[in-house]
Amino acid sequence: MRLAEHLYRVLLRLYPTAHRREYGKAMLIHARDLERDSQQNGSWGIACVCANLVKDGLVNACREHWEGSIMANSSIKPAPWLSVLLAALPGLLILLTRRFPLQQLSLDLIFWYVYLGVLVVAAPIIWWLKKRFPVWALLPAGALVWSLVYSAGMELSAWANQNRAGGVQVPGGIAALSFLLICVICAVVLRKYRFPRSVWVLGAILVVGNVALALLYSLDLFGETGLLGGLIQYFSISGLGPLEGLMLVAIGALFAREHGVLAILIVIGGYSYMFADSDYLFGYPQLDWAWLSTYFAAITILYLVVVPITLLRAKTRLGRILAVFLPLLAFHVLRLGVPLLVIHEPVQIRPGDLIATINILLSFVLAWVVYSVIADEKQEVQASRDFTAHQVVN
Amino acid sequence: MSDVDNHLPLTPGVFQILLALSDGEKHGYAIMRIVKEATDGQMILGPGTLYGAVKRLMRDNLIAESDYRPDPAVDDARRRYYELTDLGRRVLMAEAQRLADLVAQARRKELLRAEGAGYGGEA
Repeated sequence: MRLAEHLYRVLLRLYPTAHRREYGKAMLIHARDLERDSQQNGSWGIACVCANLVKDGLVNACREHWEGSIMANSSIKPAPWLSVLLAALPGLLILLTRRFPLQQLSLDLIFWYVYLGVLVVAAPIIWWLKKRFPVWALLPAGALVWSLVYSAGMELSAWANQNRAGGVQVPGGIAALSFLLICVICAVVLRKYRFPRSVWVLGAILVVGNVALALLYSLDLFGETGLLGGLIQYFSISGLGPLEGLMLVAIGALFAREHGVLAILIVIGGYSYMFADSDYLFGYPQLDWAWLSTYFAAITILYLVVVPITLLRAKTRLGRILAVFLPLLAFHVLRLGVPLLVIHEPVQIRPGDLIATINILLSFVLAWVVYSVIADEKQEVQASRDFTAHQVVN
Repeated sequence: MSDVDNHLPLTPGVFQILLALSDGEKHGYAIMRIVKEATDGQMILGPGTLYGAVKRLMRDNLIAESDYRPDPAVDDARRRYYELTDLGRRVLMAEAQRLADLVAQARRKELLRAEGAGYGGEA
């Protein structure tokens, strides 16, 4: 194969799949012809053609992604304001409860649980009546599913460890297994979709990265509990973080046919436990920090109020991307950076906080890609049906 | 605003592509060569630029894929041929007229030499 053709075959991988399928062969022939005509100028001519092809490939691949994916659907219909307000309600409820001191956390969260209780009754009824899961229920449904699975798993783990006094302790092991089980169930339901390679690469990075990073914690486990016990605990620790994210992504994918990328509200809801758990939120002994409530309120507004409103009211795909990922990045910068700046005692970011941040960011990117694929596939099927119907009519 | 006006003004690249197709169907590389010759080598359309433009022109119904297929003995059967649509021809004519009007304005302001005058000559 000629150099330019080979080079352009690689560059074509950067283009959106649909564009590559439609024009890839013609573009390769074009690149080959350019190289053939430049051979009269010798090696210098071929080098110039290759340089121009690289520039052409990179610039236009970005342009096709921008126009084909990000700027597409520029006429997205925003959700009605009632749905938007209902979707932002969990965040508002948490803000309301946080006017009390944090020590009364468990009592204050009664509003939150009342909301979830209402949701358990109302959302399925509306789902059944309208044959469509209400968009406002996605966020609290994510929170509910995550907290139920996680709590049940942790309780079972505690029970198992209690009966194994003196043996191998498996913190969160059954929670990790529960997450894995739900991932598998969702994967079976979703097996008809052909996800692009990027989905598998992201998933692999999530899992392998955690397995590698968990070594930071686990090196001394083997000395305490032996090889087998150490391995069990090691995989339990490394599995819990990515599996909770993968589970949320998988559950959200079940709703992506109905709601497209809005199903990411499931993932946001699932991770909202970070707002209810001060240990997770900071990782430092900072409950007596005077500005804690203000800080907490700021990131709650950012993440559980601003994101649902902007996401549901966005009119373009770019708007939706910004609605999710800008607050997400701001949230993590705040979560990791602010305590370092304002706590007047020596603190440092613990590896667990960084790993959690990486897990959450990767989970969101994965969710976005997976839901986009599902939504695009649905659009293609719909367009195909419309075309067939048009043909039949004519 | 008419269908034609919605597409004006054209970018130089799109204008050259439509101009290349104005006298018959051509494949991508042939379009590139004609544009290169017409612009004295100033505009060389790479595959990404050309097929990106082709995609948008087909979406806007200014060009269409042609059924024309050459003899495989003399050309690669995998090539795709394109032709102007009626709308594309009308848009091209409107753009050419728009450019001609601009040139006429420039000439009235004596910014351009009269047709036929050489670079060193007087109008």
